[in-house]
Amino acid sequence: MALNRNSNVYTVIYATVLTVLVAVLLTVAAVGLAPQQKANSDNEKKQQILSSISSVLGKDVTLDNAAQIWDELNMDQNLLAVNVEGNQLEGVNVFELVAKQQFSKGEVKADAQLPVFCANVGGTTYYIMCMYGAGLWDAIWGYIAVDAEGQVYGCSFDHAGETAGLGAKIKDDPNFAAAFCGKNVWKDGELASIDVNKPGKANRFVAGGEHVDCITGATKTSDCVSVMMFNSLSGYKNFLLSIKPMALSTECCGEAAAPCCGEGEGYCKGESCENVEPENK
Amino acid sequence: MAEKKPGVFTGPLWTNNPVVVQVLGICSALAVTTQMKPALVMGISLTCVLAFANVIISLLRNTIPNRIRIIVQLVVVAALVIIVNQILKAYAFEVSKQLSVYVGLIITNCILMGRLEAFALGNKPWPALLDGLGNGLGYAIILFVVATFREFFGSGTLFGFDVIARFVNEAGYDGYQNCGFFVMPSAALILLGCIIWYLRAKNPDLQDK
Repeated sequence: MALNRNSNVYTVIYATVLTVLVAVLLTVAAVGLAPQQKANSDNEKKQQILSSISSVLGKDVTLDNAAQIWDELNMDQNLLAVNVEGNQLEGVNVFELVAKQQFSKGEVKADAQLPVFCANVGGTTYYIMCMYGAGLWDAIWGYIAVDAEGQVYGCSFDHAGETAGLGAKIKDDPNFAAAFCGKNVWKDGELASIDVNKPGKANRFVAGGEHVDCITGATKTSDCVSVMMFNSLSGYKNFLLSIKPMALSTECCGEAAAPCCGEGEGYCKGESCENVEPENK
Repeated sequence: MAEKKPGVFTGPLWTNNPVVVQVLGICSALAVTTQMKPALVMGISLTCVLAFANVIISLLRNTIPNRIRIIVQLVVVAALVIIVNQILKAYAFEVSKQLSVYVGLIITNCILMGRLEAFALGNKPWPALLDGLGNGLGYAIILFVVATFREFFGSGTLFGFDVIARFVNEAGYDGYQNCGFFVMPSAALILLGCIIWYLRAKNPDLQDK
């Protein structure tokens, strides 16, 4: 008897067998290739982190040399996780922290575990922090490297779906990230971040803070980078304060309760600078 | 589909090209042709998937229940594409990042469903394989041509190598700007239009009577 290929039973059995076969095949492929894929994505993460200090390293960090540089700097031993209070967290697998999970609606969650990648290059420690936020079309993220004073030594940006040739320049145009170098995220003891807006405009977060020019034709994406950087650094604010060396210059100390000279956390008290709130402030 | 075997393979390369004559797979032809490397990989990936899918569907053609044949085609194609994607992620990471969603879009590429439905379901495996290879390569050729123009004028590079900037710098002239328009998908549409125009002008059979 010829098989009736249009009967319901045949159709159901056919569909079931096919689905099971395909499912088994895909499972084998996914499980078998998983270690290699994980290695690739870890390597990419290392490349993005290290790209933010490529100016300090004096060379481009590519997917090929990222792992090597990572090991040379002994980065695995120099990872921290901090909370928004700036306290170091123990027992956290820092490298596996997912930036996306630490943010909610573009801002750092109150219970976030924020990764800090410390790179020791030439005797100076650079603190590389993660950034995450919304772009114009999809998520944008990146890393920013600062020293203890809050001076930026480089950034790296990436995006999920910004417009090619315009917004995508945050990643593709090295001049954009390079523009952040040498800027300071602090202004008179306040976290000013670095604003990205039109040439000549002031920093919109803190008056007098630093800014870099936005990308022509990608004002929206530039705005998003600006907001992302400010919000992300806000989460790290207490950590950044804790690494900041006290400005103890006494030269211009004289007027009591005036902010100390230099990047001041402290205030003048008597003849010296102390890290105390002025009484009559 | 009364073509003889050689026609099955060579036809789609030019006179019956899937992109510019059958007008299938336009979506990805616009999306992945900003640079030559992803275009090439996309072309090769699609050729492999199409060839395999054609053979598999052709082998199964006498067993597939008529009522769920589209679903069966889709399952076979989806499985093949996911495997290609997983392999790219593991062994050609940079390329897979550039292709990102487009690899997934192979599943919905009209060339696949079009060829499976029109050819593989009614032909033996060998002609189906040739048809798959022919259509895949026909697609790859068009993608490659469009990508060459777009990368050259849009980014000034070929396969990532700086061509224009180097030439311009040697000539001692700085001020050259790449044509950003070529990066946009609309440029691909216009280039495709030009190719179709050329093809129709050369080939009287294709002209509307």
